[in-house]
Amino acid sequence: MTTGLEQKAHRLVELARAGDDPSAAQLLSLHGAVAARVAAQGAIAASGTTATGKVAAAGALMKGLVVASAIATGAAGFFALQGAEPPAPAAVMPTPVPRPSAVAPTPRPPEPAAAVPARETEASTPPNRVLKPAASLRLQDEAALLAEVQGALRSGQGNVALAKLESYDRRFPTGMLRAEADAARVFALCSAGRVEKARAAATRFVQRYPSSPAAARVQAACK
Amino acid sequence: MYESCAKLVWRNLRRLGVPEAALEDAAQDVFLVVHRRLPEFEGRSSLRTWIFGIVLRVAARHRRKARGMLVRETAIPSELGQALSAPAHEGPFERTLHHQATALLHRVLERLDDERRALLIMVDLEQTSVAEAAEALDVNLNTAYSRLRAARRAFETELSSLLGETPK
Repeated sequence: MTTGLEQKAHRLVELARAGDDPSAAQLLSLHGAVAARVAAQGAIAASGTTATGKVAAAGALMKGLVVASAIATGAAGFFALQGAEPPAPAAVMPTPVPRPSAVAPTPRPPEPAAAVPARETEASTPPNRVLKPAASLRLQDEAALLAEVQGALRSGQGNVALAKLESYDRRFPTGMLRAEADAARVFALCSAGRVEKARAAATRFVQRYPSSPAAARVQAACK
Repeated sequence: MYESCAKLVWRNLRRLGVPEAALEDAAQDVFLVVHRRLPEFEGRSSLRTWIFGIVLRVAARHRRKARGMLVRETAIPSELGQALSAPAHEGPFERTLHHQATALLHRVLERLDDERRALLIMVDLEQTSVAEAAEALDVNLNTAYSRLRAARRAFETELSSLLGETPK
């Protein structure tokens, strides 16, 4: 018996394994709601109602999102670019929809979240430690640097943008906003008149992030 | 990727006893925590296991909130026990059977203590390795194995009792 359960129990587990999956409609509804709450949370963080590191970190991420999406797509968001992440706040990004329950569920402390006592006796809410400053700061730095890239692009300084992107690559080789940096590079190369390189970078971008909402814009760069 | 995560989150919230009416809220909470804490994910466990850890905590919170909420207990059809001893086959009743089995699974899981429930879900339902489950529950590997054995025996006992059989 593969599961180490006796026959009936084993069969029950086999029969019920897929029984709890959500329906397509439930998934869709969840997707929209999460996007709205992510956006709302960003708004809360930005308005500074809470001073904890957690929320500040969410704010940093949202700042990153806004910066990044401005670079990459104008409105399309960050999640769609990042394979391993939750849904795309894309559609909702410009208009945060605050709702009462947007109050952040209190997460447990930092640490590799793997360490999770399953006991319900966790009723005694765990101490609300602040997010590792390093993670939050790094994200803020990433977002700030990409904002500079965006500024350079807006003022037509493609070479400046490229230099800043090189510095981004050096400082954040595994950055959270990697996809945004890759998209920005395409526009920077165009702006600097390096069309061939821009096209090659655009092709790589589309291969790497095929489902990104920025893909079409990136491909249309230099045209 | 998002879709498989969403399914993982949803089905395990259900198994962990979050009532139907609170499922979407709970799933949203999980994703907000995931979203916020993703920068801390260090790849020490798989992403699925990491998310499962968050699901456990959010489920506990929602269960507490829902305490006192009227939860309808699904009746267990008398023929279900027999169907479980029959060999697997795809027939016209298979769909109903899946449905009934899922309801029964919830009834059994609900009778286990939290740690046993979590272990059984991770290892036997989600087919996570015992090593990963041990890491998620913060116990050492030997402990996880012996608790898993105990969880399986408890699962079988509760199943028998729900089916009206004398436990072996």
